[in-house]
Amino acid sequence: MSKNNKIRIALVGNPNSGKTSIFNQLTGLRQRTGNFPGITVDKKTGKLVGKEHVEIVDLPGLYDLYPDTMDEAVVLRELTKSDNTFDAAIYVADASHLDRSLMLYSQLADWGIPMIFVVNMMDEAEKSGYQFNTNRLKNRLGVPIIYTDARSGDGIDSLVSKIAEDKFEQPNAFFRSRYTAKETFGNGYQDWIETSFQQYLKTKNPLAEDAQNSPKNTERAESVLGIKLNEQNAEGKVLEDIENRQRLINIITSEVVQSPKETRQNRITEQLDRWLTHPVFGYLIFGLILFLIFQAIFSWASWPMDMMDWIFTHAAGGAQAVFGDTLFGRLLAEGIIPGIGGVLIFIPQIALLFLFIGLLEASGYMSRVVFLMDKLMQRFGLNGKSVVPLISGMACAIPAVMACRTIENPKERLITILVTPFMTCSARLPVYAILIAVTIPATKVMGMNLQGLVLLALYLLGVLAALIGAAILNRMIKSESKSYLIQEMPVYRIPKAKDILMNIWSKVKAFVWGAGRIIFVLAIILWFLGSYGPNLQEKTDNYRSELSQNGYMDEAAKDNAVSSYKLENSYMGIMGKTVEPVFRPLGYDWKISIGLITSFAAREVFVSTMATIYSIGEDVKEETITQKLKNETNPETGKKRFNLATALSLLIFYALAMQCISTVAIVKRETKSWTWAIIQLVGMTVLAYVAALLVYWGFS
Amino acid sequence: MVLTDLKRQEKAMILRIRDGELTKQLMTLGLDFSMPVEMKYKAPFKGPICIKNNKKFIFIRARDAREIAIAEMS
Repeated sequence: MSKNNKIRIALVGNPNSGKTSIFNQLTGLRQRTGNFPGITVDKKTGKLVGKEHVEIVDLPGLYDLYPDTMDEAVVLRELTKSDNTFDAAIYVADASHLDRSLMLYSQLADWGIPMIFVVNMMDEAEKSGYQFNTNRLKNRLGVPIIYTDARSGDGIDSLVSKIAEDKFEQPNAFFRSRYTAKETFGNGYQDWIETSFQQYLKTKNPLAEDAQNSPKNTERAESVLGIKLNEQNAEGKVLEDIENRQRLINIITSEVVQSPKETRQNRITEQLDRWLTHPVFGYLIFGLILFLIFQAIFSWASWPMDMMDWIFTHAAGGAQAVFGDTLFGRLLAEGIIPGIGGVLIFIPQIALLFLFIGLLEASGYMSRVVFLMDKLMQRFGLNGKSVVPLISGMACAIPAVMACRTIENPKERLITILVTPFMTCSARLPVYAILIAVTIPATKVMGMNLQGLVLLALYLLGVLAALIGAAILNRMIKSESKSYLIQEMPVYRIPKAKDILMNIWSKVKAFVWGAGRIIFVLAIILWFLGSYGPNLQEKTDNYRSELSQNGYMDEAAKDNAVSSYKLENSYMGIMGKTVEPVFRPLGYDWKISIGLITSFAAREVFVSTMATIYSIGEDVKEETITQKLKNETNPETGKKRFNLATALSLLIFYALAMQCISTVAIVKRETKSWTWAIIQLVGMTVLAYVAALLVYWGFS
Repeated sequence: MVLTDLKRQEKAMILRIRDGELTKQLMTLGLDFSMPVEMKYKAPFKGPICIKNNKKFIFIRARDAREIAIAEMS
């Protein structure tokens, strides 16, 4: 071929065969990206490096020429256009999947276009133990074989020179030796060709348009596929053709490729999976694993948490002792130190849960859970993969919502994101723990600790709310895209400590940065709101002097009365009293209302707010917040403030309400819309309010 | 015959998949049409099925497996 003649070369191959890397190496920066006419499939063309007259067209990756998909239709049309046709083709095959690559190749070979056969991604294939017999492959295919590794650039030079020297050769036909091209494909292809072309007609597919506008192009397409586009044929013929090709391909690969042997890991995996994916034992084992994980978290996390609690309580006391009753001392002792402590105290639990989740994922077990749970999850509009975010949600919703990225189907992913915050996260635990300790007696019921049972019930409530919520959303959200669950079941591996630790670090970081900053800032703001108010100092002084006339009260009672008065008249007290009417139907007073407002940003702030409310104006003592709450009385009735009805109503409210600004922010980021974040926030809050109202009525 | 008709440990060749997207995703995972598939496990209540192909374990939903035409190997 003379240098004056332009030549046009098609770059063809399966998806993920590294075709695009080859294209980039061959053309350098001299490439253009356009669209195939009328459709949004990328068409990339470029000039061979140093050879102006050689134009290379990167066609979409595909597995065969039967036009099932838009990409396949595009390539078929591109190859069969009567004008501007290709002079030759470079066929790119993935070395690790040579057999898979040969189906499309066999069709091109039968069409009769001159080719060069590129075996790409050699590094990877050799690493996994594949070996090739080049001479046999060349004899079988009848075209030049070139081994490349497009990422490292190995073999590209020899490919470039082969192209420049026009070493393309006519391939050996797969079937033409026995039949003519048309006979090969014969009378087949009826049903699916018929239906797919009917569909193409509806969607204005280029091929269908061609069939109407350009009879000549249609003829060429028919001769490539060996079918009449409007003929009534049988699907059986298609299958027969594929089978015949596959048989030949099997023979070729068995001669040419030596595959790696069955590994020991595979055998171990099969033995383990006999139990771990068993229809009965599989679920029992999963349940047992979950049970043990939560047992471990509660027993192991309690001592570092107690230790942190002790450290921060004493640090606050220390700060007060050092800086005295100055503004800075009080800010430190009552605002900053409890604020930091309130964030850090969750780290042991979150780290432990992600240690276990990380182990389950890295060992490969989590894929078995997805396999076992998918059918159940599907009932609720979720995906088997939703299990991971839901379990993660028991630590913290922020990393859990981020974990939803692995769910491909947009609807299932959205539903999982929306219901994950129902799961009982670690931030709910301190609220639960305190309210349970204050109101539920530590008696035994049927040999079980009643407090423990209530906590368990709250966890179940979270799971139920998530599942029922998902089922409702599943009916409300319309979706066109079909959902698939196609996943590799990885072989079992011993997890690498480094990976596990990195995973824990990234999840803890997501929590500390995502939620911690907000909680910390809030703690300081709350302290200010609780310590200051309009003319607060003056009013408090007046109240104190009024009290001093009173001879019946002792000094301690007077101090308490003063601090309570001060809080009631601070900005925080004013806010609490303003919203009190909204929460009164749920059985909450203005102090609890303050807790609800402040914990709107982060639910665990309820505890620190209660702590702040009850420690402001007093010396920071080691007295725990629980005892303070227990002693709190309702001034109107003289009875205990935290009675059963109020406590249960609060528990239900915290179980169902969003109460976490950080989660709202992360949901907005992950769904790329404020709409869903706000729907979720409003929906959960309304649900929580109504449920808490019903519970309060029911128990009082 | 379709893939879900296989019982555990039975082997078959895949003839055709009547779903382009399914085909693409399976291919991307490395399903190899030229190699037999072996039924390994089935989740209960018509849940997903796990097959072995070319030394890989892959699982898909039963309703998708019904789109995969096979010929059983004796």
